Amino acid sequence: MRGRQGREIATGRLPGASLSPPPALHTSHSRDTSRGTTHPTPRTDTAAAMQDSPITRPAAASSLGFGVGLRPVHFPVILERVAQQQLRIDWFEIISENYMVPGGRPLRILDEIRSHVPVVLHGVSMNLGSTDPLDEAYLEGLARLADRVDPPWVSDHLCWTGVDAHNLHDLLPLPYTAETVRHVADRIGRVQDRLRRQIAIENVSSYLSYTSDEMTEWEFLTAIAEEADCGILLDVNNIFVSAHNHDFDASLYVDAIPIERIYQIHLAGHSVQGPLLIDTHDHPVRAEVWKLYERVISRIGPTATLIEWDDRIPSYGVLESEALLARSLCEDLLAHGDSESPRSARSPQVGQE
Amino acid sequence: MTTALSTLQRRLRELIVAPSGVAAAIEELGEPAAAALEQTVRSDGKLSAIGRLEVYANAYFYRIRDCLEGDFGALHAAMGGDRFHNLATAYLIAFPPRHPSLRFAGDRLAEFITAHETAAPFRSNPDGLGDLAHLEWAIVEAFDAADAEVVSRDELASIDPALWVDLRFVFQPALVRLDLDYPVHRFRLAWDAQQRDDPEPNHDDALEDALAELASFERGFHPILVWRSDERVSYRGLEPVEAACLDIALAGDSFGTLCEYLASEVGDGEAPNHAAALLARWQADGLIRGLSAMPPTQIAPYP
Repeated sequence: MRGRQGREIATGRLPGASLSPPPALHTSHSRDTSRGTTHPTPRTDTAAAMQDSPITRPAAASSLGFGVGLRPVHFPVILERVAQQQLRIDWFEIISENYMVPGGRPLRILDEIRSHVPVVLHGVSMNLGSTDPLDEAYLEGLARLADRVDPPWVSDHLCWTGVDAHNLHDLLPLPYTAETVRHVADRIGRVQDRLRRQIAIENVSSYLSYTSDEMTEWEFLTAIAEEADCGILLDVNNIFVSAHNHDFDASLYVDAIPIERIYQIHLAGHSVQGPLLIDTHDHPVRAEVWKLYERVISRIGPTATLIEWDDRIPSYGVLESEALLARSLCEDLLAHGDSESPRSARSPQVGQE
Repeated sequence: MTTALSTLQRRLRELIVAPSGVAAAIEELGEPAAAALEQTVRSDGKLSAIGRLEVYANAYFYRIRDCLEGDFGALHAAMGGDRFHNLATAYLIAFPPRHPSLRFAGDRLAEFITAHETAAPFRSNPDGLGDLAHLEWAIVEAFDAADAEVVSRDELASIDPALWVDLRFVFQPALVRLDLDYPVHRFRLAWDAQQRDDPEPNHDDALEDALAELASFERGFHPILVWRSDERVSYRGLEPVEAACLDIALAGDSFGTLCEYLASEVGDGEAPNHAAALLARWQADGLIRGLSAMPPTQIAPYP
């Protein structure tokens, strides 16, 4: 059987990383989401934002606070805390695709949570970088979900996820070329027109780069965001992972991103697998990533921050404590006005290599 | 420009999904493929282009395999990890994922097992693996099907008896009727019980017994109902008469037609009581969204 010779005996394929877990795609695919409700959260007025473009960071980018990814395993405890008004975080983020379903428990719970706190839609399958046509049915489903949730913003990834209608369910990097910038920016523009709102695009962790690259990843990300007039979801862990994998200086990256484009930050844990770092979302945020986060916050000020955790998911309390740590770091950092403040010394305690 | 980008994406896709891995695929495709990859993906002191692409190739397979295992837990238990792994490999070759959501990764697995020419090794030992896949996918479908209000016992009781003969049932959408050759729901029940008790057991006697029973099933006629009520997905085997009545009602025929069928099966004397018992059961199970005097095509769609 070909599969047995191939996938099943994968030792040695990746030095030091046999049968490694796949990188996180944050698709906690579990069977658990109801009916439309209206919600009292501030919403990005897309039309206004687009007319005012370039460059108006939504107010929620600096005021939304600290959140975690909503995962079905945590539904019971979250509902309990919501009922008791003891939610210690400010917002949740959902994987859009997991809630683009007709009905059932996950949608009902989403509505309930959404009636208390803002929920951001974060997708993994918009396939912005592909040469396939945009998936109209997908965008229709996403627009319906956005109408239902009324999120501060909608985000997806700067990557391609499939071609010729074959979905690879992964976030593959794009060649950093001027032509790719035009191609992707045009598609983002059409998505924004379809959704009638600006979106934010996230930098992905990458494990390969292309010989055709003409610019750095941060130049590529910035050029697309500016040409498409969209926001950026800056994943600090992804920057750290890709910097290691491709030998660039992560600080150059985070210092170069235009502040007014940064709607949100992601933090997550990663794994060491042979010579590479893999974005597995199965650990606490590592010390080095906290340091990089501090550098970003000290530069751009308060920014919506979210903890992602998608594999070996811990108790809700552990996940929440990571978000509260981010809040504490930011408050201390901004109070001192200096990323090198003594407070930052405690962040390494949470990391592990 | 998109020509260059689409060429790049197709080249990488071909290697990522190659069932034996990137290195083997390159070897199979020969020197031009190796050269093309080197011209596309950067190699460095850290890792070769092939090694880097393997990260994506492994992720592609294992992510979908894990998703399938999540949706087809009893099938995985019945086949064992190695065979399930090979099933996933063969399935992905035959039916590459096309839907943007992993939720649909397993939408053709049952079809694959029961009908695809490369799935012969997975159709036996034990028999009924295709049926088990059908059942488990129906459970997935019922889980997040559209919501609908269902009728109460009092609402049914308030209907004028004179109207019943012409009324047609409107069922809620989270309902799937299956006709299987093997009573595989009994195995899924054992698997569900084991999952509730201990999702990662070292050894489970009850599941072992259920596996032995699964291997002994004789081919037959086993109608099954899968439905969701109060956010809980349930399934049960149906007696042939109930299955036929449900099919009559699902087809949009009237209650009178259903009663005529019942009378032919159980006799005029027993038919009314039998019909009342079915009604009570379907209402209690949360299957009935409403009753209508209109033909089904005139009933408003689900919201």
